[in-house]
Amino acid sequence: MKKEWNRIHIPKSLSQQTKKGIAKAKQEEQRQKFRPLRFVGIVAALFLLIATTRIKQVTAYSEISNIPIILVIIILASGIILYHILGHAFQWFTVPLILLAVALYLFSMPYRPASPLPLHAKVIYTTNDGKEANNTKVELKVAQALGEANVKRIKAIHIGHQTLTKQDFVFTFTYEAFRQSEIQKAIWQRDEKISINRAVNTLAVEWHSGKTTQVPLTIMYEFPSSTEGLIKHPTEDQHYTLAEATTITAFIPGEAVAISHLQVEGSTITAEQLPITLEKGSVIEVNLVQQPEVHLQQPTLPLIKTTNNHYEIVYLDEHPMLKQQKYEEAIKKLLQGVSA
Amino acid sequence: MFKEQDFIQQYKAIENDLYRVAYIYMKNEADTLDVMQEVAYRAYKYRHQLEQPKYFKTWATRITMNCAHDALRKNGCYVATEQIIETPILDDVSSIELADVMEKLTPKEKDVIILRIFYDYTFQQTAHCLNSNENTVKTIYYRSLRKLKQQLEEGER
Repeated sequence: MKKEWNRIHIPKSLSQQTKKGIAKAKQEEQRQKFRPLRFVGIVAALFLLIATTRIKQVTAYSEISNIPIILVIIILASGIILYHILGHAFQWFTVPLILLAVALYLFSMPYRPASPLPLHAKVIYTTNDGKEANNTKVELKVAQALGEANVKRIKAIHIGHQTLTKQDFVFTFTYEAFRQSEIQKAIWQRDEKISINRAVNTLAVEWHSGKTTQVPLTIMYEFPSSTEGLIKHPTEDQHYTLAEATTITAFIPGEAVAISHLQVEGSTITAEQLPITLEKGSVIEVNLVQQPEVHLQQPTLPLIKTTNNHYEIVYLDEHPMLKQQKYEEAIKKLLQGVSA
Repeated sequence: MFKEQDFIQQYKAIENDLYRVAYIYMKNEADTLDVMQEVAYRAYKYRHQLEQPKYFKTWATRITMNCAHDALRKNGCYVATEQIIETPILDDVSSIELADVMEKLTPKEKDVIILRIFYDYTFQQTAHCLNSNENTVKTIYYRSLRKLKQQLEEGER
């Protein structure tokens, strides 16, 4: 049997096979050496991944949001090609590369806020020609609430059927558009030049990505203190004593009620008699009539326009959208006061 | 611990014997060469685990046997018990006889016969190499011899 053992033919390719086996083992040893590097790479890529999502959450940083997906594909493809060309020893970089590609992909995804964004609409009264309502500009200062980067991603804002365009992150539309929108007029406080509306409504923010987000909207009204014209208002006691000599230039009807005439010390003053100058200390009695169509959803109250550099506004406790019943009571009381 | 050069030198010295061991199991050149590549790979990879260089051949032989067993298992030809391994196609006529003679042995029996007969190991050494009990090795050895004798007698007829 020993003879047979020695007779077993040894092929020439045996040493070649041995070399191959040793080379394979050497390659594996090389790969083992790269293990710490691979670990560092994975940690770095993970960090990048977390940082990416964090940046997107906090600042919605969008400057690199347009990395095309093709770039990610190129990175992945080149990684795979390199892997095959360079062999197993370079396997260490494949995992970080994939993580990097995922990170880039996340970067390229449009920012989609998980929760509604706090938008602020600022209404600024700018005109004094007696048609404030029509010329009032309503500005949606979205930039402050969203950050510039996010605003860049907004394609349009829809309020009801209105679509707003944007300029320098401020969405501007006319008061009429504003009034016709689903955002209701605010009720403001008499003793404040700047009042805060209690109404909250929603906007539909259309992103460039095609998504639409419903955003609750807080409306803030600003009233410039230097606006020309004194606007006296009918109040609950119906009688108003002028603090100074005043020229009344117009009656501005409200939607619920309008001014039919004024009683000033026994004289009746109608719209046709305007303008008229009244002395300091004159007592005015305001007589109101109900408008043919009362739109309680969009209530405005009548105003008296004067030339004095003074500004006052109608006062009600609550916004009609929120406290419509209370508003109705207030109107009723107002009308009762007129008829009394 | 082995340096690379020492390892290669020692491995080359026993390479042929290792091939023969592998051949006993695989019975064809192509499969045996595949096994030998794996043997070289494993031996180089785990060379640091060999504490005493004097046992290099035993250690490498053990690796060869394991590789051969694995290859047979992978090919579906491995029979751990007393079953007979199916005869593969033989491509080396000069070596057919020994392979044929050992055909009816199980892999375990082949391990013992190779070490005892071809390596001239004692029972103790064989048991140590196979990580087995000496008496068990003896039992396997004598049983294998009976099988081989029977096989040779049949061959003469």
